[in-house]
Amino acid sequence: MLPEGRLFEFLYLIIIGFTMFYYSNQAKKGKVPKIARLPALDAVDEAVGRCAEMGKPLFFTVGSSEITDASTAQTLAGLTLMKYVATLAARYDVPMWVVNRYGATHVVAMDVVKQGYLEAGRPEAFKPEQVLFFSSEQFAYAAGCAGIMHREQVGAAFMVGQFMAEALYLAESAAALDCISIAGTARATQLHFFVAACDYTLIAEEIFVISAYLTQDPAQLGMVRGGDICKVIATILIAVGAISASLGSDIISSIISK
Amino acid sequence: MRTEVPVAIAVISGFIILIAHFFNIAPIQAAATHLQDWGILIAAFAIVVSAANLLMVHIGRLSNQREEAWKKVNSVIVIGLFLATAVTGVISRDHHVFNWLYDRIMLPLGVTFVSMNMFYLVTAAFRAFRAQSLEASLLLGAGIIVLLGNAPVVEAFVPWFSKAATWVMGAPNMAAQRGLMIGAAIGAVQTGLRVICGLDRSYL
Repeated sequence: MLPEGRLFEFLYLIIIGFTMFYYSNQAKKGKVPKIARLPALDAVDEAVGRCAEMGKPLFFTVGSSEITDASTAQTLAGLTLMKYVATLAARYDVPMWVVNRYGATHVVAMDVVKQGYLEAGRPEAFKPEQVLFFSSEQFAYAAGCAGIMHREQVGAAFMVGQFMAEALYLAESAAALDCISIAGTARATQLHFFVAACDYTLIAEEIFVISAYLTQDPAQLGMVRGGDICKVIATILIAVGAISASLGSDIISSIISK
Repeated sequence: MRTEVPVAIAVISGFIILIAHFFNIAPIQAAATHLQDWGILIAAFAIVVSAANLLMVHIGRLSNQREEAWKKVNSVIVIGLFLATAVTGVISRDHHVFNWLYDRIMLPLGVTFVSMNMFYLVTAAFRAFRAQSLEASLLLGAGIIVLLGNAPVVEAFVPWFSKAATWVMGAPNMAAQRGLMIGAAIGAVQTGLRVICGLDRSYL
């Protein structure tokens, strides 16, 4: 029934799903796991507050994230933070500039920001012309982002999602303005640029706990615990695989490839 | 209803794609193919919406009496180039004006931006490599080893630098990158499952 090479993939998905729901239910019953502090998310309120105090706008982009390909999970993580920031921006009357690289992401981002303003009780403050699409060409988009940052003299820059070669360019543009920069991506090849150039960085899997961290919803916190259990299982498999391969056995690789 | 209907569509679509990935059931496979085609169509229509937004923003800027003159000039250039590219691109993908705009404007500007990354790399490295803490000192040490190990002149005089650089990139760097990749992959699967099961609606 299952195509060749998909059995282990399917079983691991079942394990991830089971651990997620099990720990989510446990959390609902009162066993709420504690989550490590994430300075980047703690700094979000401070960054928006600083913009309000200085009378400066803020900037947000989800980078080269699409909602129709493998980067969708990162896009959703970025959009989750975008909505939270939009709510704060509406509450503190901080203008919010959003730049998107792809059409589909742009349409969703427009709705997300609008919803954020609606939840803050200030739908009239939402300005569609501040949610921008410049181009799907990588560096035309990057130039547009940098242009907005410099022209509007933003007080905070948020860059969360999937980023490619434009990551360093955007991070350095924010650093040149001396604004608070909060970035995050699960793309390992661009992560070090953010770590080097930004004030706060969400490292890889940290972007996927944004929703749980900000809402402190027990069910979502339980799911984070479930994910950690799956990482422990993956680590054990890697360790056993490394040891068995060193001893000349291919047991783990043959199980994984089934 | 505003939230429930999109969530229901996401849940049904997600499950169909997921089942089609694992099981070879003809009707499900056909439904998954249709859904993916619809996704491509929706994305194509979204580009039209985005392009319209771009035009609206710049037309709005031109009609705004209080807008600064240089911003209006910028908007005229954007609208002009947008229309020239769109019209000639629709007439023919091989139109000489379309090709000229791409080859003489788009391509050189893109390459210029890539080149500028080198300068940004230096300024970012300058800030990151200041040995203010143990972690920053380790980063500085690793950076020096990799930089010198890749410089031919250093390799000529101190051959072990190249081996040290290869070790730094292949052992600690690769181990950390793979750890990040595994964590991120599991996090992405979890996000997918939460969305497919309708448990994560924070983006709506």
